[in-house]
Amino acid sequence: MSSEQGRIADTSFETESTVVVTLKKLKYSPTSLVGLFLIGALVVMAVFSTIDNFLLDRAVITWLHADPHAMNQPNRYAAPSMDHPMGTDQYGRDILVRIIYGSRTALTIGIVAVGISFVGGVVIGGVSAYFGGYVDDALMRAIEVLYAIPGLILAMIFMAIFGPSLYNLFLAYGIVGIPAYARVMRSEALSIRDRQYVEAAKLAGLPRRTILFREIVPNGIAPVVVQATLSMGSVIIGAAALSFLGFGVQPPTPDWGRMLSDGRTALLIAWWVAFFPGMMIFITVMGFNMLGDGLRDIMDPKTTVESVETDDIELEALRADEPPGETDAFDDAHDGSPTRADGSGAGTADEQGGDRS
Amino acid sequence: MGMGRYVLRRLVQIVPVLFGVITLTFVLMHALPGDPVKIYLGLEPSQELADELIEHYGFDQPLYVQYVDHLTRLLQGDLGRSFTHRQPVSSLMLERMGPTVTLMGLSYLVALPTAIALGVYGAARHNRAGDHASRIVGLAGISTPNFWLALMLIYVVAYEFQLLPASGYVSPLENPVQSAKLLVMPVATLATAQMALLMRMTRSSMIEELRADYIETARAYGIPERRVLYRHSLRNALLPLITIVGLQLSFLLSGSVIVEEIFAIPGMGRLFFDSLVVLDYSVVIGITLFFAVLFLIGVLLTDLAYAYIDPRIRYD
Repeated sequence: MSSEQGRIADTSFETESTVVVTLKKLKYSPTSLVGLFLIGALVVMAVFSTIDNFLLDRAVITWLHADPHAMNQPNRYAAPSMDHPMGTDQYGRDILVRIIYGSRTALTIGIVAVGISFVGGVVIGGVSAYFGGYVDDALMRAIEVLYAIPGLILAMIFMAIFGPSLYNLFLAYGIVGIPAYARVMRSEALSIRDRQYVEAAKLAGLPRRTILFREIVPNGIAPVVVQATLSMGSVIIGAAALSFLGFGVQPPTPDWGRMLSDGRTALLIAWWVAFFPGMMIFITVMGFNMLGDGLRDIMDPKTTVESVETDDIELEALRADEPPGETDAFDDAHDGSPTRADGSGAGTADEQGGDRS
Repeated sequence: MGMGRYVLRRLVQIVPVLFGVITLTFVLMHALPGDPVKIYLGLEPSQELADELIEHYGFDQPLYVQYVDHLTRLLQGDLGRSFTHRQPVSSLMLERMGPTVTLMGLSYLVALPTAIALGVYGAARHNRAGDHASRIVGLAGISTPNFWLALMLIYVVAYEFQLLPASGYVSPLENPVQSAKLLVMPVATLATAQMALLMRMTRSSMIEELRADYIETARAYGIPERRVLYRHSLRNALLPLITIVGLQLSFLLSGSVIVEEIFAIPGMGRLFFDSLVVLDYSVVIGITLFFAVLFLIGVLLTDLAYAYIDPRIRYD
């Protein structure tokens, strides 16, 4: 009896996934589409360089343009030209191909570090909200401790302790990011905790773990996904900052932060060595921020504001009262989607291109 | 709940966090590689000197004894000694505090008014060209890596056009003109992302506020739009901004490490970086602790300000 009810409780709400609903609305947001395009280009570059590097031993890129590891001392610090559109660095290596290869590092760091923060934050935030009481208090105080130390400072100390390597970089930014996710997840879970379907699942006798991870977490995950998209950018910048300061990725791995740091020493004689990798970081981060911004606008804008101690009671009450069906009306009223009624959608992308230069 | 009780409760809440931060930094301190004895005495210390040092600092004690000692010393305001600078960490930090505080204060001073003005502008022209432009500028601002911005500023402003000196620091009290010249680029670097973030917050908060019923009422009464914007909605819209201003401290403290490193400013961020490179761990931990406490105080003050202005916050 109870197992049958459990199955009903499990299946009947799966269609309500806010993530799917949100993704469908993306097409109304030109900003997110541009962001998506930029990220797509980055992914293509990263996949290409991964295949080329590990399976083909850099054959394709060498054939296409140049070998990212080939040094050519007489040609060091060559200015941008037809041969080297972005110039060469202190060893005469072509910067363009190194930037393409660096996309792999940037994207991997972003994905893995955000993945660690995401999982950690969802588990901590969910458990904290669902169990409440002492568990909540203890977990939230721990989160605040982590949050109190500025991110870069904590990451730098972490790298000094465990040594500069790509894997430690994943961990450092993964851990540094957990508090933000935990907070978003917690406030979502708090508002979902008392909904009827959770009550139903409880009455059906489902184990607490199942209720938490099958009922509460999936229904509150959308704002956490937005948080992930938005923090992807800051993780990539942060990782590049660590590499720039010499605490991150070590040579010979092509990495934008590292390239920037090389460019710093030669700034006055070869601006391009620092300019292009930084530009690339900017474009990548811009892509993630545009996507995240659009996603956030499609949903409730307030959910991802880093709320501190002062959990907005009103907002939570509002969200708890709001039946799932009514969210559409709310979204339509909000500022993100109205690009539908706005012909100048494509103009946003043009303006952005213009502003950058 | 009265304000007094709220203050008390928030103060009590901070104690475990502070304790946690102290414990975490203690653990980090002991996890940092490098032998303090060798850092202090050189690579080949004589056994007697080494023993003396170990005994003096209690390095031979079990960890929990060292922890209790650490706590006791912290309570007395003793952050330990720097092994490389050969002076107490607290006095070292005091020397370096000026530039960092100047830098961060100016950054707030530049970022806040600009952000509010641009945010209000964007909200007032919601979904029109001006709004889209301000939105893109905001997104670009938070997407710009500050270390890259700093380098490009140095190249263009200081080298190409020779408008400002590239790097260095002079106290505003000594030579205000030179100091201002040197501070323009670091402050611009630090304030860009901060401004962009605050602007985005102002904008979305204003847009929300402009939809409230009381705004409709005000407009229906024929109150001029400017007045509706600045007298009615802005005041309410700025409330959520208070929290962000406190939270941004963390962000600025991180930024100070990079900006001070690039612009050769002898502040705490640079001290942190230099100390971490040579593993002068008492300085590293002292600064980390100080930054964390500064952040907690900042958040506490902004929370209290928020609760003072908006009494609903006190009941949660």
